[in-house]
Amino acid sequence: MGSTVNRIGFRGRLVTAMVALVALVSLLIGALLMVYLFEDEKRRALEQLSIAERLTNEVIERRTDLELSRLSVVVRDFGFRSAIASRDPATLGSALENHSERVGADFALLLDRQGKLLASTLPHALPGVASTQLANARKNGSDRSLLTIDQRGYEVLVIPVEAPGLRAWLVAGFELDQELANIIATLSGSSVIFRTNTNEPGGFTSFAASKDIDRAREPVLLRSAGDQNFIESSRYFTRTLNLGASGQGVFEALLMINREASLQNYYSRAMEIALLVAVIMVLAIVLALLIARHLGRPVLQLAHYAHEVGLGLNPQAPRIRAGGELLQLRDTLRDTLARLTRREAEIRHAATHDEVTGLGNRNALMNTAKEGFSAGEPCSLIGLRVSDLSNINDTLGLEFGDKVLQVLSQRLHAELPDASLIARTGGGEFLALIPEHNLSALEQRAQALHVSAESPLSIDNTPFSLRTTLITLQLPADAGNTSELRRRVNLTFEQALQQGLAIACYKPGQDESHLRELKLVSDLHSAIRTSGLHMNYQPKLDSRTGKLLQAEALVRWIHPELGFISPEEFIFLAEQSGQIHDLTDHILQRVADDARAWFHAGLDAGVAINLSAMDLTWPGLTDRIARIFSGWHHSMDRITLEVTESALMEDPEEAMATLNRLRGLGVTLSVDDFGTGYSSLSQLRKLPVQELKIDKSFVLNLNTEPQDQLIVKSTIDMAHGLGLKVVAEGIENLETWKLLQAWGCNVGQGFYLSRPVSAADLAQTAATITERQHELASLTPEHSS
Amino acid sequence: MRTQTLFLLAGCLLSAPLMAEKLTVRVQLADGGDPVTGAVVYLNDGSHARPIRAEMVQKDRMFHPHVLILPAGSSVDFPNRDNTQHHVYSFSPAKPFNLELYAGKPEAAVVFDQPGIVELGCNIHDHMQAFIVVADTRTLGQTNEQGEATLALDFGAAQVPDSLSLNIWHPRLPDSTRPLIRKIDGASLADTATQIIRINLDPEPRHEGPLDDLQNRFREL
Repeated sequence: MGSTVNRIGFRGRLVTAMVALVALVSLLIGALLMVYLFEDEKRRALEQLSIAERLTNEVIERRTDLELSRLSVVVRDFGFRSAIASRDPATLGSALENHSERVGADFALLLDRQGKLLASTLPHALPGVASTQLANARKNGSDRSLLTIDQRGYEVLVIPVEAPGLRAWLVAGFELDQELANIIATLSGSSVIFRTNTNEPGGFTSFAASKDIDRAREPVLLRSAGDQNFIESSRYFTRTLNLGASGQGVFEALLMINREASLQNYYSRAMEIALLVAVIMVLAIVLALLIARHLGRPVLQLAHYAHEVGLGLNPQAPRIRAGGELLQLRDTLRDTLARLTRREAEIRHAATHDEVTGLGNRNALMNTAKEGFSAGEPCSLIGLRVSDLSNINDTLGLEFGDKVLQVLSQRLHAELPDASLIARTGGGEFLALIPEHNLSALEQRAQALHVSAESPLSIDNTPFSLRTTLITLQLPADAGNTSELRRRVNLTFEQALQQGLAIACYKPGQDESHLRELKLVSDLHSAIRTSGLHMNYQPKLDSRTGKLLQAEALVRWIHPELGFISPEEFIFLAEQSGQIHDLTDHILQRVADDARAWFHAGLDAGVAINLSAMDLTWPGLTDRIARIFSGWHHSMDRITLEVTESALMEDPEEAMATLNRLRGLGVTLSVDDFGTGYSSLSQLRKLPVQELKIDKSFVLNLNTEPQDQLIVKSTIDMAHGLGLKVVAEGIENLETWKLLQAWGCNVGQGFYLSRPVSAADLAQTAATITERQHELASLTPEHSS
Repeated sequence: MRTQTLFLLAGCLLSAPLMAEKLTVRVQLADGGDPVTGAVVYLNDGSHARPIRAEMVQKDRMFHPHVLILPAGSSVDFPNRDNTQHHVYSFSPAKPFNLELYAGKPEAAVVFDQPGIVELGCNIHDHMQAFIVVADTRTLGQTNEQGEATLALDFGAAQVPDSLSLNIWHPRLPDSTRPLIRKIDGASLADTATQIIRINLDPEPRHEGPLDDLQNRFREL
């Protein structure tokens, strides 16, 4: 549909543009031609009038010459002269009549030498001939003048009669008649009117007109005058020619060319030109259509082709007959398409294949698994992980490692011929999708694969064997989508490694606890930042005085969704997720703030803070503590940092260095949970600690367990021997407390003495403890062992 | 030659006893004052000359002489000495006549008995023109190159009139068919002073000879 519109639009525009151009040009040319034609007609008419003007002059002049020569013959006629000499009026009259007829004069007069009338052919008197005319005739041999008689125009010639001296004057009149007008009209091709102006301004009297002029129909012309030599009336091109002045006025010849003939010619030419323009327009339209079709088709083909290429189809390149740019464009499009297709194939291959082994990669496996999930087809998954590939790479080189992987892929192919996909999904990790097996069958397949994978191999003549871990999952029972699949595959591998299993299968529920841990890790971060943790403090009492000596900071986390999270769990997760330093820092800050608040409230209490094993490997710990507790209101030894025995044992060197730096601050260092670890006494001797905290497992049932009593008593003795103070925790009854007091334990802690309380409640708790001082203090050792 | 004859005539009449015997007339152009040669001057003082016989010859398609002065009653022969015929005529009132085409000498001479100016022409040769001045007096002269003519006065016993009519004629006068007449105070005749007459003349006609060069050449062939 769209292409049809484009098609019409393209051709339409082309045709419109071409036709408009042709129309413009041809109309311009036509208009110019018409103007030129019009001007040409006019110019020709004017030229013809100019010729007519010259011709009129010439004709009249020649007629005058002819008349004069005739007259000169007459006046030399002896008989005529004899008649004049006779002086007989009748003879004179008849001779004049006879001889004037010979020369064709319209009238003739004979004057004597003084100008007196002797004879006349006119019935009446004639306006007298002026003496100047006679003098002129005497001087030049003749005289010519113009005269109007009875509305007729005459050329009057005066010639002397000599015999041989001057005897008389012959005056002859020749009319400017229609005959003359016709001659001029015939010769010049224009109409002629002879006229003279009358007394009234602008009035004219016409004497004669050539026969093509209907005098009645041309009153305007006959009347019109104007002073211009040239009059352009609506129907005629005209020109007036001054023939000379008569006594009364000026004689004129009015020369006229009928415009109608010219205009007719002009109109017929105009029609021809219009017809020509129309034909050219039609030709232009046809040509434009042809060109549009010729030019437009390949363009549209190419546009269609480009559209299909854009849609990702693989269309056939159009056949284009026209050469040049269009062909070049077609070839470019075709080559581009070819390159695109090739590159896409390469990218697609690279995206789904592993370079080293040629197996599928993680993407390929996930795509296949996803297809399986959406199709709802159950299948089984076997995973294999090479245990120490990084070691192989490090020691034997990457190329060797690659060869190991290639051999392994071959073995996977050989062992799992029914696999729908075998993919290398990580450095040394392979996953294979095989048809659905039941658990035992799957375990057998895994077992077989394990044997095959670990069987000795020889690479570059180097005998070699691998250690591998295998896992199995049932899809979609064990994982319903790709993210579960990824997570649970990984989880199962980790479980296998942790538990040292060669083959592990995923057990439902593993992933859920894993997810809870992930959530806790994630939420712990925000809890630290937003003070979502609570601090509780459990008082530590001086065993002799029963007074509050210190408060041990205990961190508590009430998760908004999961409720109470045990400190063991989230501290472990903090250590695992690398947040332990942030957590320790946060706790130190909170404790410092709370202690300052107590001090300002008048409560005298030191603080005890537990450190994680990982804190001991934190180089910035000492600086942080120094900064947080700068300006501490008690002596620094009222700050006790408790470190578990096991933490000290993980990296004794580093722990020792850290403890020494902390000791440099002046804080008291305590070994927490003493008696549960594997610390050697020699080790203990070297440690810069001032306090031992006996693990509560020995204290909880101290009043009833003789073994515990032995251990605790000897531990107290040993610690005192080493110069260390002893703290007992987990005191839950008065008997235990009294025993400890009797054995010289320095500090006690437990529910019997006080439960952990919030920072705000510590003052109240301290007051209560003070009230119980009589009960808690060891004034008199009643129970000695 | 004719002039000589005239002077001879005048010399014969010299016998005036009372008055100044001579009247000198100088004719000059009215505009410019150039002297006019060949003007005929005469007084009709009542004297009469004896008629003579003269000839007007046609030679080379011209009349010879151009001006012939005659006493009244003289007769003139018109001998034709050309190889063509001539048709000599006059329409002048003093003596109209017509000698139709002829060669040689016409049989009869023409008698000019009336005073006046007679114009001669040839009907077949328009350019041929001559004048015969017929004067009935002896007191007559023709101006020389200085435009002067001297007339011998002879009134005899008669009383000198108070005024005299002096006739002046020249071929190129605007009206050459009659002489101009000027009145002269009689008293002034006593003076020997020269009478100065101013006249108008037509311009000299174009000098077209009786025969152009081409015609002459044909003749000589």
